[in-house]
Amino acid sequence: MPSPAFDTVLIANRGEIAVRVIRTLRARGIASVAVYHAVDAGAPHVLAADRAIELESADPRAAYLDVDLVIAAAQKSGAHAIHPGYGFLSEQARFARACEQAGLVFIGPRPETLEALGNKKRARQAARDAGLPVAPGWEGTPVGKDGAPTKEAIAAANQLGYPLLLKAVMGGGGKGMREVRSAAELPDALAGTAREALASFGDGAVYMERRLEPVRHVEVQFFGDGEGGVAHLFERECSLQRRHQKVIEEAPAARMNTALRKRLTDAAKAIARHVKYRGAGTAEFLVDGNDEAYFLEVNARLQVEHPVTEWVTGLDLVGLQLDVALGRGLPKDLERAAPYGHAIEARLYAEDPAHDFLPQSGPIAALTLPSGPGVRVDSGVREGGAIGMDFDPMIAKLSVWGEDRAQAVARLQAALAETQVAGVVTNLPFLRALARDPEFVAGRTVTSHIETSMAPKWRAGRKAQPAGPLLAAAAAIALAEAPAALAATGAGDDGVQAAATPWSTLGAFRLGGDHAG
Amino acid sequence: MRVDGKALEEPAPLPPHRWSAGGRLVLTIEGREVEAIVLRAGAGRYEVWIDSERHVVEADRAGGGSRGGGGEEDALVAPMPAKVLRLEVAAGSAVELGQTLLVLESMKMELGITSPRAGRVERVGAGVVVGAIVPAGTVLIELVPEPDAR
Repeated sequence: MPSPAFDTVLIANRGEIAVRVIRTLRARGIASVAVYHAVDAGAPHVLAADRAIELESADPRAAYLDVDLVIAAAQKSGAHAIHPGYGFLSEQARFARACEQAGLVFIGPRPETLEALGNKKRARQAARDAGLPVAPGWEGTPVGKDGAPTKEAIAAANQLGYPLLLKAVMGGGGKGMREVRSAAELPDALAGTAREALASFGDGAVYMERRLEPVRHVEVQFFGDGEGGVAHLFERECSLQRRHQKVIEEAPAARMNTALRKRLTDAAKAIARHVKYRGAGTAEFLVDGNDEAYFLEVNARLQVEHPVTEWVTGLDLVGLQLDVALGRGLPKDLERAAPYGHAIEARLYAEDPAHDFLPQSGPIAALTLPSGPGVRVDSGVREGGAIGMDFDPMIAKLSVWGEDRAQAVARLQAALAETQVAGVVTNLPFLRALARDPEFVAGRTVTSHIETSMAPKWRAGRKAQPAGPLLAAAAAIALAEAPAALAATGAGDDGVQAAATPWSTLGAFRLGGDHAG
Repeated sequence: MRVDGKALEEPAPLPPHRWSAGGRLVLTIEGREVEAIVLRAGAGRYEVWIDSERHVVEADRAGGGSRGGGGEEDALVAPMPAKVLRLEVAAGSAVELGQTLLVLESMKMELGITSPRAGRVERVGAGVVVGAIVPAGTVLIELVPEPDAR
């Protein structure tokens, strides 16, 4: 097969991941083309790219999900390849296929691979074929023509035991997933999950899985050359989650032993080899207290949390994706003997930890991001910008490296203390508490830790706090002087307002464009 | 004045301070300079951000601050811009701890606002009616303790 060559790459994404991909392209001397909807005009990813092409669409989210618009932009710009980032079109087989048909290199797995792994039932089958244990589940037809659960589904649910999980067959990354606590909840939950799945993924198929608890979330980063050659880049642990979405990730896992690492990395490579995987992928597992591991899904793209793997391997994962896409294959000796040190990433989100982590929107009136030894920031917003309601409300990924986990934890605490955001409510105060949580510091967290233990304690402690002297003084000064001061310092009477995006722009929020990993 | 819906005494004297661009307010407290960021949040109302936490600040309403037992009254504020989906109480309603007072909708998600304690609804915030869009920080419900219950 002739090696494809390209010197211009279009990034079919926005925000921090688009900026991240552009950085590698620039370092490689490859020209970058950004795409953007009008609401993102002047955004960091647009300014970072060598060129930018507007995607004209009434709906901002729909613009980044429009295969035809993105392909047309690539052709117009003379790009030879498309990097899809994560979320949006990154795991859409029809997009990968459309790229191929348009003569563009899709920087990711083959369309057939995306089809096989995007369907969770088929992914579970592929995992079983590769000899991997999967979480106990039932993959029959759960809902009859009358809309009620089938007899088989009710019997299977009883056998699996409650609580159990309903998952969209075409879902993934924690989306299209619902917990069912009792048989009485099953009919409504099945109907609701199917409805959401149809709306989010265009397919209402649902299957059932036993809810394993308590477990850790451990995932293996792997690369494939597309011809059966595969390599792993160790594991990441992402047990700290809320709403089935990751908040803090680390590499290597907090508690790992050689035998478990070998089992997990061998399993990830087995499934990658089985599908002759091309590019970067992640195999996700749940690991119980006896180190029993269950395959969850493959994320067929670059993950949000890839920086922690880059920290402990010294590799540029986007660079490796480019190498594979250029037909250069994988470097020899890609696999290392052991991870170098320890890395932790925290996701700074505009969301309210006091109110069930609900997404927030508003102006970024002030933003201070950390730096220093062993500190990395990936961000796609800046001071003066805003977090709207159209997209995932991530502000930045803060990642730190330490010689060991203890140093990484200390650096994370320091980096979070250095970070400041004003204008939009964020999870920053919660992240600071999480970084000091004894269970996290000891590396003993499980996936339920935030929602069952840490967040309720944090909320209770926060409510009990009295207003301090600083707040009382600042409040009194604000009331007495702010009208004049805000006008005099250039903010103007209508200057920096704590106003929200107009309600009329509300779109389908977080509907598939974001992701757990 | 009211901070986060609770009455708070104004400190006197006020500490040394200066303003700079972007609503930055630098105060000297116990010999140390600390920064707050002040943003307008509507007529007579400000957001004061300290260490990345939002506080909503407003002056006492005429007659509103004269009630005794400072800090007992409770104003529940909208945590985010939202639409009022349901309003389940009216002025004068007796409420129990944890009772749902109203339901907001934001970003296609419902958020129930529950009572932080037993008491009586003194008033429903201005403009808080079913179907209304309320900005973050809007006072939704003001509670007072039920005198008989104490």
